[in-house]
Amino acid sequence: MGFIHMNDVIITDRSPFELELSLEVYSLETCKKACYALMEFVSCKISTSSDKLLIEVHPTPDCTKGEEELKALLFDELLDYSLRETIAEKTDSIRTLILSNAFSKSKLVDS
Amino acid sequence: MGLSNKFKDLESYSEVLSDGYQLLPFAFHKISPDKYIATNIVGEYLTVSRDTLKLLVNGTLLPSHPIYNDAKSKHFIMDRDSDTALDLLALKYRTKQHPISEFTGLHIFVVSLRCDYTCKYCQVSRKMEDVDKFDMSEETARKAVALAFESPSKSIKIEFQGGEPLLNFPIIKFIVSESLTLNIKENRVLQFVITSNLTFLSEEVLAFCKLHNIYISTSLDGPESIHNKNRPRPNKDGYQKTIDGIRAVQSELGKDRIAALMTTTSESLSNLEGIVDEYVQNDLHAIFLRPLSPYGFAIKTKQVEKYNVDKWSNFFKQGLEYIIKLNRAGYFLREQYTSIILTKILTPTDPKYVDLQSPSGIGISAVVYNYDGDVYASDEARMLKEMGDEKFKLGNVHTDDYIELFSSDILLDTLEESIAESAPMCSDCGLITYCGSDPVYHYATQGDVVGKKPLSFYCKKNTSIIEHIFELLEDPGSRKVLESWVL
Amino acid sequence: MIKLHSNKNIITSSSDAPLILKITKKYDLPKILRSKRALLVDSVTDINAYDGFDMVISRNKLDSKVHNVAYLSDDLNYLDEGDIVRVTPNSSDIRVLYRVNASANFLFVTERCNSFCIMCSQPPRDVNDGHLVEELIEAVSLIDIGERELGITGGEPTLLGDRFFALLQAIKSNLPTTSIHVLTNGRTFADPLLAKQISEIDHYDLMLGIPLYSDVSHIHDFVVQADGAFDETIRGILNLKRHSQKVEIRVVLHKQTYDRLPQLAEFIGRNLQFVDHVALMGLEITGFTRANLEELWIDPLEYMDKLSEAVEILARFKIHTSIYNLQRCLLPRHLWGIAVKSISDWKNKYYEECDNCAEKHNCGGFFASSDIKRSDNIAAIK
Repeated sequence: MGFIHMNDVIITDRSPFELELSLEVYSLETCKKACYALMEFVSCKISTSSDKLLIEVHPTPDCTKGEEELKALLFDELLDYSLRETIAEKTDSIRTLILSNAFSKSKLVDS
Repeated sequence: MGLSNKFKDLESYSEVLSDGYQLLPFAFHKISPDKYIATNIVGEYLTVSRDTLKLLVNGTLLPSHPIYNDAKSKHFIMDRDSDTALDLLALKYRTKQHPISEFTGLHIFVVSLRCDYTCKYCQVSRKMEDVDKFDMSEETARKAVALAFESPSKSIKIEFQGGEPLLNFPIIKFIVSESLTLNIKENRVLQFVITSNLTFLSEEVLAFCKLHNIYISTSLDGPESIHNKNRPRPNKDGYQKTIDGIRAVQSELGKDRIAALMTTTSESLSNLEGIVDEYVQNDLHAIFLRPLSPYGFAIKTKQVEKYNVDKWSNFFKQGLEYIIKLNRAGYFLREQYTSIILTKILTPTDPKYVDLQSPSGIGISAVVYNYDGDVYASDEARMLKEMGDEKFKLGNVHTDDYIELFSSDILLDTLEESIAESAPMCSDCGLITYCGSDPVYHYATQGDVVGKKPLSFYCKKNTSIIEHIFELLEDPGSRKVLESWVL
Repeated sequence: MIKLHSNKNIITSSSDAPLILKITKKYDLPKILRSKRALLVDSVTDINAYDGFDMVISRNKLDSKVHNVAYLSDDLNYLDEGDIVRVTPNSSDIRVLYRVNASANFLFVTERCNSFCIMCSQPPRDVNDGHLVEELIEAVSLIDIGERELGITGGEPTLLGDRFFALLQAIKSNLPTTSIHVLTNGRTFADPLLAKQISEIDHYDLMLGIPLYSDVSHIHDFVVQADGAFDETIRGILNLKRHSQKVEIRVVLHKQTYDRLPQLAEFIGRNLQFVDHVALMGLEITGFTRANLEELWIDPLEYMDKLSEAVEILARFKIHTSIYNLQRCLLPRHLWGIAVKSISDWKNKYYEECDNCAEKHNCGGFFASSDIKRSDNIAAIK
C-alpha cells in the first residue's frame, strides 16, 4: 500500500469507463459472454434501456491494459460472440438432429 | 477439347450449389487477429481468415471460393447436392464419444503410501514405517479387484501406484493373481502397470513382470542434478537407482516395456535440453512434459506459484521445438501430451485421457482404490484427500457396492457439471473438441468444479498448447514429425 | 497376351443355344461325368471315344463330318484342363469364362449400368443381357473346388437384383473356399434391405470394391455422370458396414480426380475409417477414356506428390492401402511396398524400356492399352 509505486502510473488508466451499444447490433447474451471472457482484465456492469446496452467497464486491480486496448479487446469479443450467436441460431435444430441420430438405438456401424 | 459430347461437364453438376447452403454446427477460436480455427463437433478443422469466417457464417461463401469444397468435405456446410453430412456427422460423433460407453478402463491401486523418497512436490504424504497403517491388505485388494471386474469395460488396466508400490510387492502379486483368476471367466483384455521409482526392482520383481507382461512406468525428471534435487532420497542416489532400473527393465523386459514421466519444477525451466537429452541418452522414446499439479506438497511448499502459465508454456514450446528437432534428425521421441491432443485433432477417435475429456474422465476413465479401501474418482481426487478434502471420495470397498460407488451423487453431479459443452466460455470455445474439463483441478484451485475459465491455469495452458500445435501443423517439416506421433 | 474371346472358330453343332462347357483332356472320363464337358484334343480322330461329351474341341481342323465339334481359332489355343468356355455355335463364337491359370478370374455379369463414368473401361449398354448371369451360374457349378478368388464385374452387377444374389449363393454353395470380389458402384446398397440381403449370404470372404472419386458430392457425381450418386454410394458403404460386409474403396487417378486426392484420403479416414482396403489406381486407356483422353490424361509423375500425401494420410488412419496399375519407375521408393502387380495377365505388357530394368519382376507393368498413351517418364531402374 505504498504511496509511490511504478504500477501506480497505470492507475489513471484503470478508472472505469462506459460503452454504449445498440441492442439491435448486439444481444444481451453476446454482451455478457464477451465481458465474461475478459474477466481477467475487467469486471463489467451491464444494463439495458429500450434499444440500448450500457456496459460499465471496471479494469481489475492487476490489469495493465489501457482503456483503448480494453475497448478494442471488448469489441473483438463482441464481434466474435455475435458471429457465434448467428451460428447457433442457424444450426441449433440441426445440431439436435445430429445428436439424436448419434445416440439413437440403431446400430450405426460395427468396426 | 472437353469431354466427348455424350457427357456433361462439371459445371452442370455444380449448378445446384448456387442455391446456397445450410450451415452445420461449429465453433471457432481466434489464434491471431486474422487467423481463426473453426472446428466442428467431431474435431475437424478449417483455418480461415476473419473475412472468410464471416462469409461462411453469413451464408455468403461462394462455391468458387477456395475453401468451399473443404468446408463441404469437412461438414461445416451442407449444400443441396448432398445430405449425407448429417449421417456422417452422427456417426463420427458417436465414434468420438465411444470412450464413455467403455465405462472405467483404468483402475489405480494405491498398494502402499510408504515411500523411500522425500520429493518436495509429492502429492501424497510419505510414511516409510508403519507398514500396517499404510499398506493395502489382502482383504481390501480382493474387494477392489472384484469391483474392477464389475465395470463393463472390455479392457481393464490395473495400475499399481503409491507411495512406492514395490514396498508392498506381495499385494501386487496377490492382485495380479486374483485378477487372472477372475479373468478366466471374464475374458477381458487385461493389462498391468507398475508405477515405481525402481529402487526396489529386484530379480524377483523383474521375473514376475516378465511372466505377466507387466509394464513399468517411472519418473525421470532430468539429469542427475535436477532429478536428485526434485526427487531427494536420503542417500542422494535416486538418479542412479532410477537409471539402473530403467536399464534393467529395458534389457530384461524389452524397450517397449518402460515409459518415464517428468515433472516440471522451477529448477527444470532453465534445463530443458538437458532434461530431454537425458531421455535420449537412456533410449527412451516417449516423454511427457508435465506441469506441476496443484495438489499435495506442491501446494504446501508453494511450488505451484513459482512459475506461471507463460513460463510453463514457453518451457513446453521450447521443449517441443527441441524434441521435434531430434525427431527430424532421426531420433524418434514422442511428447505424450501433444500426442494425445494431436490424435484428437487428426483422427476421428479420442484417446481416453482423463484430464482431456468432456464430461470429465473421473470415475469414467479411471478410478482409484486407496490403500485403506477408499475409492476416489481420480488420482487427483485422492491427492486432494491427502490434503484433507474428501470431496471426491466415492465410498469404500468394504462398505459400498459397485452401484453405490458409481452412481454416488458426488460422481454424477460432478460429471454433469463437468460437461464442457455447457460450461461458460467452454460452450463457445473453438478448441473444446480437443480440450476437456478438469473438475477436480478447478475445485482444488477455484473451489468450484466448473471453474472460471478466463482465470484458469488449465484453460490457459491448454489454449496455448493447442494454438501452438496448430501453428506447428502449418510447417510441413514439423507436421511430418507430429503426424508420426498420432496414437 | 491372351485373348478371351474369338469368333473365328469353326463349330458344327446340333444345338443353336450357347453351351457352357468345361474343358477336359481326360478322354477316359467316366461317361456319367461327361455331360457339360468338352473334350480337348489335338485332332479329331476316333469318333466313338467322344461318346457322352457335349462337345469335342480340337486344336486342328480335319475333314470330319462329326457333329458337336469346335475347331479352335489360334487365339484360343492356350485353353487347358479345367477352363470354362461359352460356345455359341451359330456365330462361331467361343468366350472364355474362366481360366485355371489366370492371375484373376472375373465373371462379367451385365453390360447395364446406372452410372456413366467418364473414364469407364467397359462402356455400359442398355441391353437385355440377363442370360449372362444364368450362364455364369452354370459355369460356377463347373469350376473345381479350391479356386482362390472370383471377381464379379459389369456393368453394375447389383442391377441384376435377385439373380446377383443367386450368383453369390451359387459361388458359395459350389466353391465354399473361394473368396469373392464384387466390383460395384455401391449405389444399390443405399437400400438397407439389399445390404441386409448380401449379409444374409453369410459369405466368409466377400469384398465389395466400390469407387469413390471425390470428397465432395458434385465432383464425384460429375465423374460418374449421375446426380445423387455420391450420396447413394456413401449410404451404400455405411449400410454394408452396418451389416459387417467387407468394403474396398477404389479411386481411379486422372486429371479430374488427382487434385483433391489428399482431401479424399482425409475424408475416407474421417468418415469411412472402417473400410477394409483402399485401392488407388492408375488409368486404363480403354473404353470411354479414349474418347475423353484430353480431359483425363495426366502424366502420373505430375500427381505423385498428391498420391504420396494421400497414402500418408491413409496410413495415419491405419487404413490398408494399395496402389494399382502404376509402374515402379514412376513411384517414389517409399511407395513400392504398397504397389501391387494388379493388371490381369491377359492384358498385361511391358515395353522396351523395361528390358533392362532391375525392378521389372516386381513391377506391375502396363495395360495393353498403354500403347495409346503412357507416361513420358518410363525408364529402366538400375
